[in-house]
Amino acid sequence: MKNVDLDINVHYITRVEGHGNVVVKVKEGELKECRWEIPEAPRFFEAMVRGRKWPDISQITSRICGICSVGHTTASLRATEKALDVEISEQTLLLRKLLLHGETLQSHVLHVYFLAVPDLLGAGSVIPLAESHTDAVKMALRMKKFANDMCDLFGGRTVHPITPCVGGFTEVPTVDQLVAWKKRTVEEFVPDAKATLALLKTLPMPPFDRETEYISLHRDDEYAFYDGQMMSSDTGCVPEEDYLGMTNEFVVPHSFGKWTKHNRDSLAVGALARTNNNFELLSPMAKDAAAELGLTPHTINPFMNNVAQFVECVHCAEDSLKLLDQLIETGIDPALSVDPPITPKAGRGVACVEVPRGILVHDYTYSDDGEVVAANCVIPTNQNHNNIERDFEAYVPQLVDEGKDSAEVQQHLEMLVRSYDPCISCSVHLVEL
Amino acid sequence: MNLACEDASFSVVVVGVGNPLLGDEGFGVEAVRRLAKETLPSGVLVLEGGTSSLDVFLDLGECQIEKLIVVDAVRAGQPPGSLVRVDLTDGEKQGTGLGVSLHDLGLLDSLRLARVMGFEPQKIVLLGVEPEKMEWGEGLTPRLKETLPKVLDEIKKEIQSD
Repeated sequence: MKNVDLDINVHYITRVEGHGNVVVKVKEGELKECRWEIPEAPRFFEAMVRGRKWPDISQITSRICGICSVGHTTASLRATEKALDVEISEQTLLLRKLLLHGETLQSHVLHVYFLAVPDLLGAGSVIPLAESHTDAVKMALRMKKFANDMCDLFGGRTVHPITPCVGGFTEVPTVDQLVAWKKRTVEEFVPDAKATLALLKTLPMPPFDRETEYISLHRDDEYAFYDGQMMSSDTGCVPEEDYLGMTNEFVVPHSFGKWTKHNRDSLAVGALARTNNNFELLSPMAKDAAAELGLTPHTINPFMNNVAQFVECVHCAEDSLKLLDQLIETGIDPALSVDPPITPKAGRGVACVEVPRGILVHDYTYSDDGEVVAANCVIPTNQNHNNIERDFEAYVPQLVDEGKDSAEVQQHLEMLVRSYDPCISCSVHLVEL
Repeated sequence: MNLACEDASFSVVVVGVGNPLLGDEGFGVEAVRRLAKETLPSGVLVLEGGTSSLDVFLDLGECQIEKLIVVDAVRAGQPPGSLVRVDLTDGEKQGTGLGVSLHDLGLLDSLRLARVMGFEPQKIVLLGVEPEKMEWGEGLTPRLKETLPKVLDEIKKEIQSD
């Protein structure tokens, strides 16, 4: 590294969810301190659900987050259903996949347009873009509303869904609503996605390559969001029940968010991990978008997580059309989805779900009368904290050698953190001192 | 929320914003919850915006609205419980000297973004109350609870006025 001095202290980085600090000190070209600090307070959800009965758990855990509430609900329901041996119908499965796609779109659109793109357009936030890039902002708001309405249609509310329950849904859409939604997807979202692609092609990501271990769900038959095996780009697949061996959470002094590692010093989860591990299973339109934006099955620039998120938006929209066609053809039978009778039993259920930021794990153990006696939640953002700091260590020397001054180094480190789309409040846990 | 606003019009929409889990920060939400129980003129819609005012405005985007009243906690450097009224109709009018809403960046920026989507109430008024305490916990401080009847009266006067 060039012989420079840097003293960077970003207290509460902006345009991420939650609170995180960036601390970088360079003295005469030597990196002295380099930390990604998480000061966010713990949330205690794993303790909160203890002693609570099975119908309540997903409603409680959905409150872990307002952005990924559908993901928490889905993982929670799947974990409870596995513990209590509850089977769901094909109809419920398809509707849950559509709901999860709604959240992925909701979160990715918010992140790409409102949190990441302003940096690429030289703006401090999306607000000034309302005047300078009005059409792009209109498109972003339209896409956000589309995704909100999709969650409303399939989950009963735009955040913290109310219709999903153990075994099914308390209410399901009609075939007419599905037909109308298909029409809206084709006529509204797909053209906006094409226009977004054209915009992103004009906004290259900062160059920075650092290979890491990529962990995601994997299925052989579809691009995995709802379920699958846990896959490491280094070591292959394991059943979701064996998640502890992949996540290996541990505590560090400067972070209320735990860290993880597996085969290397750190690992990454999220959209880029998913596209790296499952590229061939992306939908045709998504693969075309990936090709146009330079996303490959082996992309190792963490900034390209932004691009991977957009490519996933295209995939979710195209896959939604397929799911809608299946449901429209078979019809909707309310009796298949509504609140089936459940007999509680002792058991343990582990469910891994891909939420916008990466693999989410809910692990519950129930007593005979259907009360939770133990719970563990592993949050995707947790899993990236270590990797973000390892990225800092590699990126700071590159930026300095490129001749970037202190302000530019700080800005690029902030952009790097944002590209991971961290949901920090979700990721903090109780630390035992 | 599905307001089905195509071709809908309202003389007044009252939106209460705030976080009911942060003490007095939830004032706006508590105010509209009480307002919704009263008999109001036809053409008046009362909504809880919570902490997602942008989403509420986007949902209202297609509606014709003569007056939008936003109720919120407002830090104006006044004694706790003091009421402020700010006309936000003119989008360029930022910083009236009366201080800013506690959702300031959220509220004003939400309005700016929603305008991009054609959200254009003919008149926009912010009715705010100076908070006493904003800490984790449910419920308003006694001082803010005492102001509720007066604030509801002001909202009703605002509903009736031009």
